[in-house]
Amino acid sequence: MKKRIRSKIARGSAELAILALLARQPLYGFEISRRIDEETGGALHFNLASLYPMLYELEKRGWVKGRWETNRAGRDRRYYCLTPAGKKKLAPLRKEWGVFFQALDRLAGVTRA
Amino acid sequence: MVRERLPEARLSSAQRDEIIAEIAGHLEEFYEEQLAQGVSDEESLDHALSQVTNWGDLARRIERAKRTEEKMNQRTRTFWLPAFITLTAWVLFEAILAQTSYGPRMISGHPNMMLVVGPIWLAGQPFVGAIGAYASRRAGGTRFTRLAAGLFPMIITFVGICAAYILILIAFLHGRIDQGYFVVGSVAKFALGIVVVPGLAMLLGTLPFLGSPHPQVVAER
Repeated sequence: MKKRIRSKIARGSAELAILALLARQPLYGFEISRRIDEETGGALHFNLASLYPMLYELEKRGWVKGRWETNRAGRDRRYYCLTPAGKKKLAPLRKEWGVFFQALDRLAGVTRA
Repeated sequence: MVRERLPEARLSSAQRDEIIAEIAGHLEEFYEEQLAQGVSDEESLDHALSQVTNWGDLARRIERAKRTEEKMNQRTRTFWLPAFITLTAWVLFEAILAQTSYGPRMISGHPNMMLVVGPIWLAGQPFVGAIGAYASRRAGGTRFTRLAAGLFPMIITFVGICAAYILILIAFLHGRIDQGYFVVGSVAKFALGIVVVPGLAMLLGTLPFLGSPHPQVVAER
């Protein structure tokens, strides 16, 4: 049970992190994991095994869309961008997590930086 | 290297190739980044490969994520495509008959019902329904999907008539139409004639295909 709750929290935060990042600009998988790592100071970390199943899941739901592009160096990368449905989903997700952290703050005195 | 490690999953070869290319690209970039940071070649490779501790688990998770996508495609294959084929066949059939004297004619019979006649036209409807039901069965559609695909032109017509009926009814209730009772009644008769009669004929055509699944589908299962 504990594991399931932890897994749901991790999954939810991962969805929000990816959608929020892609709301700024289209990115490819490696860049997504690097940005999340950098911007959270390593607090959130995605390795390959956790990232791609999540990206494919988001793609299946129609929140992100992937397309292959070749860069100047001739390297093929699959860029992901937010779809209109994904943009619509991002606002309520942000709100849900805001409420969640406020509740946790009130309950456990966990203050956010 | 990725192809060797990632176990076969129930995905199409195109999907598998795409996933392998994407994962290989990711590992390559990670490896190159490590090298740029001064890590040795061997260690860089180890770090890159350590991102996936269980390739079997990764394959299963990817398959799970991708397979529901296939379910959506399955809906397209079993319903939308056969329905579109039925609709096209029906439109073509109606267009051809409209050029001849064999097209349908509406006649008033019973005071509350208008009948559509035209022997060739009526005889063709079961074939149209059969096309949709057969195509859906071939794609592995359920009994309900086959029925819906076979009757799709009538479903569309019925929805269109209902929409028109509601609009006329609203206009009538707001006093925009003179002789409203007559208009509303006529639309109802028209609906019965143009949907019920050919709909029953189409249903007749779908019946032989509502039984057991297509042998090819059974074999694939």
